[in-house]
Amino acid sequence: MSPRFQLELERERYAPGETVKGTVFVVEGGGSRALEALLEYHEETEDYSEVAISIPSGRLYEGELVTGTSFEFELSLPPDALPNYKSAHGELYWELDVKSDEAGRDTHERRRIAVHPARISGS
Amino acid sequence: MDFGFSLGKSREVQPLQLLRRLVTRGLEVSAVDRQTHRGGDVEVQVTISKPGKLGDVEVGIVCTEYYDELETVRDTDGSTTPYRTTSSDVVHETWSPVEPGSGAKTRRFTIPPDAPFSYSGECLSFKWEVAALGHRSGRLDAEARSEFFVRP
Repeated sequence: MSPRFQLELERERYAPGETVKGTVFVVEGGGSRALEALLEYHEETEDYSEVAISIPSGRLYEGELVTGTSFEFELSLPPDALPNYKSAHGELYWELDVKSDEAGRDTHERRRIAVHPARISGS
Repeated sequence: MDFGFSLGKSREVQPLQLLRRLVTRGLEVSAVDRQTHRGGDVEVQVTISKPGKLGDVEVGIVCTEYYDELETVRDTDGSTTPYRTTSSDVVHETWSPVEPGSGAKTRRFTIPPDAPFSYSGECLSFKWEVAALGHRSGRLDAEARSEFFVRP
């Protein structure tokens, strides 16, 4: 059986260079080879999507996930991280993806975060 | 993403733009500083060396969004084949007339704070250009462009 997760983040809005801190709660245990958190910058149009940047946490845990356990993680946004932007034909956005690597289809728990532009100094 | 001129990139606008640029002589445009930010200004310099052949000249800034789409082509046997194509759309443009006569002239434009920033991705891109247009009566307009970069 695949596990189920609940994701809690310290906050939802960030600036470039800041650290995204959170906790993954295992609300339903299940088979897993490894648990990992990824901070990703996505490009998306109506028909296509690509991951432009992917920042992995490394393995948070290896092996069967037990109900009631939790795992903390920290991931840093790049100092030059681009902000989210929604246009007429597409969107650029940051998303946190907690991934359980499993035999067959992996389990994901995803959450978008808001990243705002860095303050302009000079110019 | 390659911003070169190919017919597949922008189904209607770009081939005409390409033709305008190929036939344009005596009209050059550039950003004085190649980089600015949203909410900031860009100073555009247009240089006219053949005013008689250009007609009324306008200078401006243009932001074009390039986005990938899934389209289909119908084969001769009636079946359809999907293919990936890049379409484009002008998402911001501001223009200002330039006084007639040869020489270098400058205009200053402000980038809207909520406009896109420059981005070159795999399926979505935003390209900012300074542009000059010469409106020639009864002939193809003259056009010159040069890319500049808008930070977030």
